[in-house]
Amino acid sequence: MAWMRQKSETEGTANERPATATPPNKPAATSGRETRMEKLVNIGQSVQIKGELTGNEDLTIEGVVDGKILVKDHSLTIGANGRISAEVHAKTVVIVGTINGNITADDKVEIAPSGTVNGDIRAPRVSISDGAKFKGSIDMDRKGAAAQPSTSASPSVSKGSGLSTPRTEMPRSASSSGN
Amino acid sequence: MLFRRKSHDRVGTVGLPRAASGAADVRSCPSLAKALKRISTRVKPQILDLGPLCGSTAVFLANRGARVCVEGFKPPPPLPKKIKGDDAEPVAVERFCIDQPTDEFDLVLGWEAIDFTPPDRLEEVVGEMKRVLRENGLILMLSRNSTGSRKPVRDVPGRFRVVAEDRLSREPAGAETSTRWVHLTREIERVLKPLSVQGIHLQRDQTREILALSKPAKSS
Repeated sequence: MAWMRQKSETEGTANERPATATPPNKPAATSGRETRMEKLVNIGQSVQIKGELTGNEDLTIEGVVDGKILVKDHSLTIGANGRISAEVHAKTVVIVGTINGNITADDKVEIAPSGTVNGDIRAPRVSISDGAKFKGSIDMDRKGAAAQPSTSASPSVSKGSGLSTPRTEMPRSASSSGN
Repeated sequence: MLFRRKSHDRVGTVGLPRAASGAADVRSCPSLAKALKRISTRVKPQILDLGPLCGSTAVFLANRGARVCVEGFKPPPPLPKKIKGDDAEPVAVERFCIDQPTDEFDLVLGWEAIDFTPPDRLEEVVGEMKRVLRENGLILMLSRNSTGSRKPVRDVPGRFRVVAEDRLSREPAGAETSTRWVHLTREIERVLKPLSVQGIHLQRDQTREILALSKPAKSS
């Protein structure tokens, strides 16, 4: 699963970091604590946050957040125990828990079968698994595509046409991208 | 000697849809294709999907440039029976409401919503669909044909997965059953007024596809 893979990727990079980031003259115990802290880039189940949450790395939330979450250029995972009442902006948003609020993603929003979203989604790619709960609207923003220089190879959309041919192939399985 | 199935037997069985509450069966839906073609000329069309939620359908439509709103349709219960007499206390009935603004959508996908609506609430439910519809907006509804018995049955509401612009499949949405009613075509047409019914397409599995258009208000 995507969110599981993401976690393992985060762990993988965290394991690699201490070798370069930790100064060699530091004691081993401090180095170990840092490694552990870098591994756990998440907000635990018992943590409650009210206000604006910004970050510059991948984030996993298992706790309760009320306010605004901004992790641009990074992925945000709402764990199974995560309860979010906030506006969310990230590169990739994976929802296994619950979000009440609008979601903006620069790359992808993925709602797992156990995920619940009450709010509007704005992202170039959206995946809603069977069993997920969603109430709101989906706007597959083409900002990213529009920013790219137009080439003759790309399919042209007739002027004023709202419904156009999709950029990606229609997925057949529930778990695939854009389901 | 091996029995060989004749070619016309194959033709007769392959295309037949399965039971309404059974496993997924892909069927053609010309009314959906017609509706999507019609709204394709509009800039950023707004589509309301009354559900039950099918993620792939919402994404399919959104991927084509539309803004898709998903609303979980909860069928209203039948109205309580009137009790004659002066001492009968009035019973409060919750009004059916689609939690969306008026004149907002170019297409309302009602799917089987009317089939799970009791006859005495049909006008109210369709009235809400009409309220959220823009001028020249379309309503697409699917309904079981009224031939034969009109007795309501228990059925699992269907979730519709759009696999192509003119093809969709029906899957049971969960395991919870609800009462499924049968409405006469003339009853549906009556509640749809003043919309213009663009066509009623009868499928081989006795499903009616009803497409109605909201006419622009006449300027005086």
